[in-house]
Amino acid sequence: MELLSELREVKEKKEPSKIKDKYEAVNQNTNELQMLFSGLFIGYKKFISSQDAQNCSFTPSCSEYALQAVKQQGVLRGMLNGFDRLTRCNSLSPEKYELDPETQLLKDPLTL
Amino acid sequence: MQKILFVLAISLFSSWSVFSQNVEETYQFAEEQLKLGNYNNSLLAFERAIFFEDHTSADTYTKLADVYFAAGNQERAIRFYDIAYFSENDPDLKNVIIFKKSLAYLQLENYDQALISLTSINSFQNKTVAQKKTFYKTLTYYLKGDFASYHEQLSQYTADQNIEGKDELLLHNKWEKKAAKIKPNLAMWMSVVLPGSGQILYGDWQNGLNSLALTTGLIALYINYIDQFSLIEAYLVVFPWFERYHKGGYLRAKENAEEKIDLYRSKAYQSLLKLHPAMLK
Repeated sequence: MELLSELREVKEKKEPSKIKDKYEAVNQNTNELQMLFSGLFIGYKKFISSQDAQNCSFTPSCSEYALQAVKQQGVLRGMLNGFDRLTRCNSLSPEKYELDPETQLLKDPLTL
Repeated sequence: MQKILFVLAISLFSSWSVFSQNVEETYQFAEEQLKLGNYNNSLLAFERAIFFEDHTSADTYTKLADVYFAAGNQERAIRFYDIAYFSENDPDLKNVIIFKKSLAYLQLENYDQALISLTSINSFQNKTVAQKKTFYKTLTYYLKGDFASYHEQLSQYTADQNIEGKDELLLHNKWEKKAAKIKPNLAMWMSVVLPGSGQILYGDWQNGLNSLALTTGLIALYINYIDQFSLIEAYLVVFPWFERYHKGGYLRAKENAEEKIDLYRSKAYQSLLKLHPAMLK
């Protein structure tokens, strides 16, 4: 019976705790500026991105990529890298990226 | 010379003290391992015993299939339930095997095959078997999502068993009614007309108000652009953003309603399983 009960197991969603659990970069802050960017990211994900349909072509998403870039490359270089990613987020050159079979999105992780 | 003597001594010693396990002991070991939850050991022991046995009984094949079932290898379990079924002569035991086989198909989410298996149940003169068959069919149709057939089977089952007032059934009916009341398309169209209302309709206040605030803000920005610049500029700059978040909102309203249905159906299903747990053994 235990095996059968797993067939239709649906758990109630708890959105607020999800963002911090889902995105590792949010929890990796070394100074106040990084905390500010993490806060902006959480706010964006919670109030703006949550109302959007799937529009980003990449995995990780542009916002997550920008957050990682700011944290690893500093504010100026990280933001420039984030803007560069936004200009590439258009699905016009899918042949240049590998496809993630799970999400069916183009893979473009941050490389230093 | 010393080495030869040592080897001889060891060989003689081992021949005195070690005895091979016979088939009955191997079966006993297999069953002990099954009870302890050591499925791999149990499987190895059963297969070893079957290999050395002259004639394997249907009961042994059923036990082997049970171990595969418990270990999560349903394909192998079904294969051995089939062998057991054809080796068995007792019609009651044949029924038991079929019920187990249909449970294995349910685990594989192969609902049509589970229903096909249940047709082999011989329930002509056995009311209990007939009721069990109806219960299994009820579960299968529910999991399959064929709710018309499910309702038909459930009403037949409850009429036969006379369990109208049972708590689990009442709970099941409560969740079922809640699931039936939810209309994903209504939520979607409400959010098309008034953003956020579809989410609020089914209790998702946070996303509903969020969507309402976001789209209202974009409409205000749109009007501001018309006032400050021009209609064309407002259409080119703000409208794509409005369209994007408006569409996201109404699709999310539909998704939210569908998730709610899944949640209620899950609860209804759990109550259905608890209705007569003994039936699933």
